[in-house]
Amino acid sequence: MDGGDRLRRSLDDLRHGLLAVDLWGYLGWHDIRQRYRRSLLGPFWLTLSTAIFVGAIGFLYSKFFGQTLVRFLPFVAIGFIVWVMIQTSLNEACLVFVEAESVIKQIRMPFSAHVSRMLCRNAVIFLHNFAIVPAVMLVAGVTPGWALLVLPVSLALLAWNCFWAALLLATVCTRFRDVPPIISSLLQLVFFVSPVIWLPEILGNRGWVAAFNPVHHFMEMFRAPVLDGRVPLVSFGVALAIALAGSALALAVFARFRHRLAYWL
Amino acid sequence: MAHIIARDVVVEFPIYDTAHRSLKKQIIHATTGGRIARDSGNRVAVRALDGVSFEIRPGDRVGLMGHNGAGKTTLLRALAGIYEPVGGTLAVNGRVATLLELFVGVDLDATGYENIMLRGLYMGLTRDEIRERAGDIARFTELGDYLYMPVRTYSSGMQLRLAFAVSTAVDADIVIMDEWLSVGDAEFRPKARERMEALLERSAILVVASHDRRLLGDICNRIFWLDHGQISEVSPAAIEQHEAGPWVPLDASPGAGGSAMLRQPISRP
Repeated sequence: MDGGDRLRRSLDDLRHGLLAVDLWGYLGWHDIRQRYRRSLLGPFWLTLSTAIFVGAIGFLYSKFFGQTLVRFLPFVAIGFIVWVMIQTSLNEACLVFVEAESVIKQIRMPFSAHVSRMLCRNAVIFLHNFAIVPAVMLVAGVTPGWALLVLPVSLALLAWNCFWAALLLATVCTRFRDVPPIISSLLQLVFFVSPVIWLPEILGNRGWVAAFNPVHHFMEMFRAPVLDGRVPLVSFGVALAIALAGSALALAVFARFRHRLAYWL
Repeated sequence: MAHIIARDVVVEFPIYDTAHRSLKKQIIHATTGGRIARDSGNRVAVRALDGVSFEIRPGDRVGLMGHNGAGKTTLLRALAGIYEPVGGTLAVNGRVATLLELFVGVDLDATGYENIMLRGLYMGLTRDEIRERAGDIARFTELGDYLYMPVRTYSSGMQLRLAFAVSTAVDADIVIMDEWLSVGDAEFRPKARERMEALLERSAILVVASHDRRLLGDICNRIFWLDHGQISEVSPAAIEQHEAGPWVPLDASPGAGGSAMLRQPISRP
């Protein structure tokens, strides 16, 4: 089998894995249902815990940074929700194929469908969490504007970026089992160096730390329309560029090793 | 048209120890020119299929025989598209239904109906197709209102009935099975057999691995004997008469079974 053949099969895999909405949509939703089957609030448990976290951090840290709660609370709320999506997706991505071993070895299914399922699950959680945003806006007295209409674009770009990164990590982590803990610590580091619970303005002349941080732009895609009624064109551009470059990288790795994945399990 | 052609198919399993599983160790290994981890650099691979060639045409009911570890399950998984051969070519044309392990995708905490959906999706059906068949599947299982309860509450026989009913609800050109599926008590078994036969009637090709000579003799028109990853075809009549193989391969008498390309002796160093 030559490289072109492998690429063709990998693209087939991706096409089927992405188009099989029936499959990953149901499975992703089923994961959520199973997780919260026995609880009263269902997935809104997550909304509640996120709300508590955001409330506590917003209340306390607004003092640290000398910000009013009204300005700081929605900022933290959106940043944290986006961050949870990124962090959980990438952490879970590491084990996507390893955990699906019993399926992968018994039934032929596109590998990418397992990634789509995991992302679908996290997107559902993201949307549940997003329910606190209107509440926070109300508290902060932010008036909704037309810019909110770009939020689906923001979500699509975020999901795309999570997808390629997840596909890449899932492939690498199936081969090298010591990578997941490395990723997990890296993500922790990224959380602290990204303006999730602190404002980029406080960096002063070190503002480049935020400007060159992709996570900042991913959050900005949601923050700008909600908080400032602004369409974040620069952040869209950055997210799109990263998505294109990352997809090329992920595809190269996936195409090279896809046929080995079942053997590595 | 359903069709399977295998030429010199080789499947090898790499055996990894913990060092091979570690990115850190691999990097150290690479940067030190192999001095630190020299021993672990010799990767061992087990050759499960060693240059296997055959052709399966529509109407063929192929029985796979062989001792444990001979490569039966590996061959089934290769046919199912799970293991891509590292050498040779394997062309499988047609929609494949893989019945290797009935409980894949079954979630014990979900209800019977949810599991019909789950298992059906894993079998490659769409949600509409499953909804269409759910009634028929439910009737076949005879589980009635139990289908609204979590599968965890079922007896193992009931669980098996459910998994069997969904797994056999597919339409496939090629059916791949590890051991003949039979479920239920004396009363249920003929019904299950009938359903299996109906599935096979809808499909063009069956490949089934089993140790049960009588069964394979009954169902199959072709028998492949696997031994240490090599394949030879024997006559269905022969396996019932003799208790132990190996038997004279069919291609000793040219033309029999239409398998002229079978058993090209492959000598590898």
